[in-house]
Amino acid sequence: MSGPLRRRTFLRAGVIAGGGLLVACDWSGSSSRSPAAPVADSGPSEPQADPNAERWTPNAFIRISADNFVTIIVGAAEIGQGTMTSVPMIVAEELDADWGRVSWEQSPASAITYGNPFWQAEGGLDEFDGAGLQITAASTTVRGYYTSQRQAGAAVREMLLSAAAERLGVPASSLRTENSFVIHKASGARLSYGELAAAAAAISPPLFPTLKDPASFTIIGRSKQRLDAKEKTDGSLTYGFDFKIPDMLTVMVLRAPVFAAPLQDFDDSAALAIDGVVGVYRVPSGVAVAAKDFWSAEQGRKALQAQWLTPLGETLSSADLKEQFNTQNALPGIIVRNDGLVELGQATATQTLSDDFHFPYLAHAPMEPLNVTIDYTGSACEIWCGSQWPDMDKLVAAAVLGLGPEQVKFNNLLSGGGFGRRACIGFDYIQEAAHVARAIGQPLKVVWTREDDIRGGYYRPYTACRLSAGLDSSGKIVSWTHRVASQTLLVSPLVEAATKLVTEEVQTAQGAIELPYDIPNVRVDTHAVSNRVPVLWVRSVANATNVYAVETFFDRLASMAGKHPLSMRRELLHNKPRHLAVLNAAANAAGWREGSNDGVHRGVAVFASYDSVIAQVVELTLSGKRVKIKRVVSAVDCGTAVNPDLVEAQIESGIVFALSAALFGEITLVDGVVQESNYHDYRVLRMYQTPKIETVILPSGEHPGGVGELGVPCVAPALANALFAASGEVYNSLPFSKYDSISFD
Amino acid sequence: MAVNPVPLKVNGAVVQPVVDTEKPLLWVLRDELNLTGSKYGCGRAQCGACTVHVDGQPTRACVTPIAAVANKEINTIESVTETSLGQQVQRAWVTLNVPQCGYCQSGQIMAVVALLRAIPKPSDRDIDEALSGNICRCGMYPRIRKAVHELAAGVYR
Repeated sequence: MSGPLRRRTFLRAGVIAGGGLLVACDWSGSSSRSPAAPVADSGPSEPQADPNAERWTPNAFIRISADNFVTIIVGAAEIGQGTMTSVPMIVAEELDADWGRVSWEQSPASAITYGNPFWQAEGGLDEFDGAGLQITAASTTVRGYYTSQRQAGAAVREMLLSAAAERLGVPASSLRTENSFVIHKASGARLSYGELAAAAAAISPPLFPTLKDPASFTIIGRSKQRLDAKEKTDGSLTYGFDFKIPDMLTVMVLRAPVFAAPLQDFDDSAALAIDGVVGVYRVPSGVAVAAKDFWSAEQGRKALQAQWLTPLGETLSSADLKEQFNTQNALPGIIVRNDGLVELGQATATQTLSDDFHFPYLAHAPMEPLNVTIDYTGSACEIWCGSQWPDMDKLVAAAVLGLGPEQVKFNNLLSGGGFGRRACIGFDYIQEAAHVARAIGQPLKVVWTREDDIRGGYYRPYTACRLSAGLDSSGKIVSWTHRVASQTLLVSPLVEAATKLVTEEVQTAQGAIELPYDIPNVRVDTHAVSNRVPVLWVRSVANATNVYAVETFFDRLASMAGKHPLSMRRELLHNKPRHLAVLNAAANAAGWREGSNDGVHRGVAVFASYDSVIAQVVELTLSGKRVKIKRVVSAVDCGTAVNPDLVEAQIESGIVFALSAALFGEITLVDGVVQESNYHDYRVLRMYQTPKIETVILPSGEHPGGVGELGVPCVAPALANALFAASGEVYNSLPFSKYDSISFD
Repeated sequence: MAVNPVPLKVNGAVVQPVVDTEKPLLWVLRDELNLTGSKYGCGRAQCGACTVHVDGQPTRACVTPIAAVANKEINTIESVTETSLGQQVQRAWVTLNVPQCGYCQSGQIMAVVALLRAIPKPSDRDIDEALSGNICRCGMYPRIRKAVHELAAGVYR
């Protein structure tokens, strides 16, 4: 296993299994759901847990009730990826639980108990001894929790076996487990986990539980229906936007028209005259309008008059960035990869290519706009919010309110999408909500409209890449340079400290450093550009931009060398078996043969990260200006696919997300003012524009890799490469909608 | 602004909220009637997350003033289980793992129910026309398309 579960895995499992014994989790603070939805043909006899049944909570992750239902308490956030299904599957496998009687529950906010072990390894949080960050980001949920959750399930299974052995007066070795029962092999006597729970609770948890041989898995590796699907089809799931507490006000904040501009003055008389508006308050981020509901808050905010010291804010214009970033990229940056001697390689080159790439600011635009429900009483605070980073959001709210962390209860809710926006390193929405709560002192919910979301910042940073390469007389690539200019994502000392752990995830050369091709002389360097447009990770972070530059540049070099893009990749990936395997699998699945001439234009791109590898082929037709994307074929090696159908779903989702960004995604600033505001001018892919999508998962028994972002980075370069193959045209800046020469509608 | 009682039939029940008659149906449903299954996503009929049926027609509740639907029959996602077709759609959604974050799915399902009522065996083009107003940021369009075709083929009857 390459991942970071390197240190203290056993120690941690022991501490959890022992320390959590019989400590019941707090029910009221968590979202919880009824047991698994039945498979489609199982009829009306869906098992129902008795909410009054006695319960045993052997460790922080598992609860077993007397009526034999198992609840898995999940530390990671559900933002659509299927966390609430895949993590329970991992535990249930080792526990030998009856999958039809397994349900999920969102854990409390606690890095120490529920943090992702992935983040333990890189050394930053030693003082918490074993704590991970409780952040759902960087495609880490399954690969991070996999081993610890298996251990949690296995430990409890062994305790149940011991309890059964004692009760039946037989050796534990004469027993087996199946579907939430312990069974005496000789007599066939059966004891349910629920019956054994009370006795098992008295047994010391094993420090080193034995994990199953993966060959005997019956849950991991099988496609299962999502445990949260039913409540997502009948309107019953309560998202943050839907959450209500008694006497709750709805608050909208009028924020500065340009980032970082201070408020000069405001006149609230017209706002206060709106029926339903109950108050207007100055807060650090702007002016908060409190009202009885959404509609009156929105009317009130429209009526509010405010003056801002706009020139003191960030007044840059996107149109100026191209030149500014190119100027920056004319200078050497900080070297982050240096193989061989680039200058020597360049000296032996007979042909060279150099070009600049530009990528705009990009908004996440999740379907559910941001919102925070907060009940602050002066000495305590309770928060309900869909968050990818609940432990830090909780600490930040506590800091703003002058409370200790123990005085803040943070209830993480399922989110209507995140893509990184709900793990905000500026903690903007949670800080603002805490300030608003302090100003108003009444239960309230701060809601963001779609316009607030699109204009609210925390974008993928504007990025420019300058690439150059040399080919020798035989068409071999002898030198490669990649320079990146981008805003750094590290915005505060607090985050700087915390992200000693996540440096690799936020650094702007991600996807450039990992250039997989066998090229003797390679240099990658970076510039950190500074301005006051708030930036943040967006699904696949800098991989999306750097891989675009790498993979499209590669096809141009192949063309100069007179080689087919597939064969030159095969050549230069000869020592990268996983890359080669997905490349060949994708080409085969797409039926792509070198020299095929069927009117369909194809492009490919390859990428590895998150302990996974992917190759994607885009097929399109071009007639006149009109581009029709016919199909996207992916081949994925993600190690063990815990739930193959949900892996496919993540790849599909990544493809659509990537096409939205590639075709349309652009936030434009003019004198600091964001020009886009809603889905009509910040366009995203729709049904009629969506191609056929086919995904092949390569069989693997390795430790799971991440898939949430994996499907994103290759799509745009594969599309550009297909266009290059079709027309010879080069597209060095995104989105494609900027080019009049092509149309995707 | 005029505050008046507006008689409606919502999911079969007669109600008469006293509201600003310009207030959009979505906010009457969510804030007055506590029916939060219909979602806010854009507020300007761009995303379809708020789709409900008004006299059987798929309608964007976020831009429909409440006065415009006086005396009309409103059906929301909360009532979808009450029809056989609605149940079939839900079964298809669960079976095919259609929802990811799920936030858009109330609107998607209401749009699909209306489509299948109007066109029991829709073509891909019919699907494009009926469903391209509903955004899914998780990108589950191919699964929605597959579900609609399977529903039309009677797989979930």
